[in-house]
Amino acid sequence: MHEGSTSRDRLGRDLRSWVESVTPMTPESARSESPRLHRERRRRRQRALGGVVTVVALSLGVLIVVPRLGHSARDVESVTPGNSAPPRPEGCSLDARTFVDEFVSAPAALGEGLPSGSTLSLADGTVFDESGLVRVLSIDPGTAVPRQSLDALEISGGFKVVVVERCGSLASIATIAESIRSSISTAGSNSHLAGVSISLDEGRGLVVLTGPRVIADELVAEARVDGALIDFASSVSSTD
Amino acid sequence: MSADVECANSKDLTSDGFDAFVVSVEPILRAALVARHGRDRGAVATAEALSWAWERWERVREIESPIPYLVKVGTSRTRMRLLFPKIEPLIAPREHEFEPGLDKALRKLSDRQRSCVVLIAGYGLSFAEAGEVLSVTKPTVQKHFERGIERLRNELGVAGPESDESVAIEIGVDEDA
Repeated sequence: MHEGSTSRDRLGRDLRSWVESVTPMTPESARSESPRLHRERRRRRQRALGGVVTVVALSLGVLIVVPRLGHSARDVESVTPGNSAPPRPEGCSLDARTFVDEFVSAPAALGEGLPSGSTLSLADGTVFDESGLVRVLSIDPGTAVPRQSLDALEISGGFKVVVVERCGSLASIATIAESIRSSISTAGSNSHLAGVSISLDEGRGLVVLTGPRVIADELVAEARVDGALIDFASSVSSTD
Repeated sequence: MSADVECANSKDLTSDGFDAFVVSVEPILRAALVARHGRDRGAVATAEALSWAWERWERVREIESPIPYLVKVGTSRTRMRLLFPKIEPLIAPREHEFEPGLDKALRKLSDRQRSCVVLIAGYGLSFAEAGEVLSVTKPTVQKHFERGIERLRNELGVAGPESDESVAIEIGVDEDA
């Protein structure tokens, strides 16, 4: 008997032995195993169902909790406590962050306006006075314009900041933003307008128009952004 | 008293033929399920299928070809086992000696190859019989079997055959194959 034949014999024997190691079922065992197998299947189903429920619950938990964590973290970072802005001496200078914290995030402060001679400086060092400043649409109490949105802007020349609060839905904000954008595109030949930046952030939109203030005013008017509009610039003027 | 007799008679009637059914069907059902799913799951699948048949014996006895049906039942009822393979002790295998790496090597074969190898070389079915169990033609069985055996040899590191004829004789394949 040569080696290959021995190996083949052994493989055949192994395979026969392998299948014979499976315990055959008798009619009696088929009957008696039934309840046990039932119990086992039920236990597996329950285990599987438990697993599915756990996964779904965890997923929902992540979906619900994580955005809230993120939101509250941002709020903590950007909202100034209290509803009114501290009095500012005349001629003081506000950086963008302070501006957002004290005037955009605190609706009660809006009516007080900026003290005469106030300026707004952005992260890039650009400084503006109130004459070129701001039009603010209704502000969501307790929230603020995302700092990163404002800080990241590169603005030169006159500008307007339009903060659009959640107007029922994100879609309505997008509609307003798009309306402004389309107004700008129709006025595209207007070389005075340096640019527009529209960003949406968690239900609020920040629209920044850069260019001569008069043109920006026209564009906002054309876009028919009205309703709960607060003309911040006007309130500044009235306090003057 | 009469109710008990009636119940006993009813039980006799419902179990009528089940024993003979199991005796005739079990070997081939077990072969098909073990070939398809391996020893552990195959053994449980056989038990599941036959238990299912017992619970629905009145219906099962009317089925013309019960084996393919019961193979599906066994497969479907043990699918959950894949998720929790160790939740319950499996039906204990009997003590047998064979190459320790055989289980692992068989798992590396494709389903069809493993089925052909186990049915033919393990259970001694002919190519034609294996074809009936697997619902494939004889040449297909032969092709999968030869490839499976070859792969198994490679996995186990045993020498290959010198001729196809010797393989057929040594592992008990039918002569006309």
